[in-house]
Amino acid sequence: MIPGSLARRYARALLGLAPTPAARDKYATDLAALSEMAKSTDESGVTVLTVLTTRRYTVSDRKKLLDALGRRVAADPMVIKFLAYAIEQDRINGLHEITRAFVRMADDAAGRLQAEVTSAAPLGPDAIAELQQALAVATGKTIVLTTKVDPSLIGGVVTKLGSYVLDGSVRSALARMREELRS
Amino acid sequence: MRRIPCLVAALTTALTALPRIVAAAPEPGAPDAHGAHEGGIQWISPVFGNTGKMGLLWILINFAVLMWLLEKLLFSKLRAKTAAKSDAIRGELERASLARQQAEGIMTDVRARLAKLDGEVESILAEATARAEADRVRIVEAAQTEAERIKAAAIAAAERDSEQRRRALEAEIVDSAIARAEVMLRGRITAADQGRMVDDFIGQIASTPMPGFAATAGGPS
Repeated sequence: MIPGSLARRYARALLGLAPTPAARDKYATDLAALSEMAKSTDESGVTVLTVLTTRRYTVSDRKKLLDALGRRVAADPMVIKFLAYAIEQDRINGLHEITRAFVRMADDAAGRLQAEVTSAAPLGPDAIAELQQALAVATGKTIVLTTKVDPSLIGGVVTKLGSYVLDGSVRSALARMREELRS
Repeated sequence: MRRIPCLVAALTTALTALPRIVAAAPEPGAPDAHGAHEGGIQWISPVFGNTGKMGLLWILINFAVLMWLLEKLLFSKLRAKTAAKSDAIRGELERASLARQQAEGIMTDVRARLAKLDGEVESILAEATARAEADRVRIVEAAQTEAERIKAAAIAAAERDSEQRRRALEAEIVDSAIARAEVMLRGRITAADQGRMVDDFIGQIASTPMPGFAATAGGPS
């Protein structure tokens, strides 16, 4: 794990290496895939990221492992090269933070916004489309929507846009009512 | 100076006694009552033909020498001792007189104070009574103030306690009501209700500005 400011610096550097928006999105996809793969563990519970981080293995061995992982997800050579550089600089332990920062920057650069919608009951395609459209209009960005179901909401919808939360659930309404009645 | 009276006394004694001795002595040539003994005063014992009597002059000289020796060896010391004692007694008398005067002064003062004592006693009693009354008033006032303070504190504590209990009761009622409402809503919200709530939510999003999401697109800096 590395500080957020350092992760953003690395992410910004990789963003600068992307020649086109398509390449930028490809980098983001590859980083996300590699970051997810780095979380996987072996029989003894050691993660791939731990192996990439451990200095017990030589840098060349760790680069070979990185190459193998890259081939498996068909990652762009530039991404592999970038992560190899991170291994050399002993910053590969910040892979997850760098990935998050890069995805956010890539989304910003593409005018996209990740939105997570949680509802008490599954939403229909029409409702999802309407919600996506409304969020796009409100934010001025392309919304990449993911949905979740949480019955504890009782009713309504909660939408997370980064750190911004729009809470339209019955559970929150009841909680607000409780606080108002108590005060 | 003290020797002069002694000498005078000695001489006076001698001179007083002398005529009697002379008168008592038989006349020279007169027949002695006891025989043919030659009488009269012999001032100086004759060197030859001494009758065994000592001459009166020698007696007087002996007496004077005796007196001189007594004076030198005894009387002077006695006088000195007597004078010292006299001085001491005189000093004691003077001190006693002074002490007496002081005692008389004190006695006079005491008598005067005794004369005023009744008045002072009355004054002291009056003053003590006044002070006691003032103390009593002050203590009563302090006790009343303290009692008022305790009473106010007790009332405030009771009010606080009551307010806390009231709030706790209200909170309990609210929690029960909310829990009850939650149970009811869980059982009564239908898919149609959920759809309406989603529509309302979408409507709120459309009407709510989100300035925090202004376009931040841009390449790496």
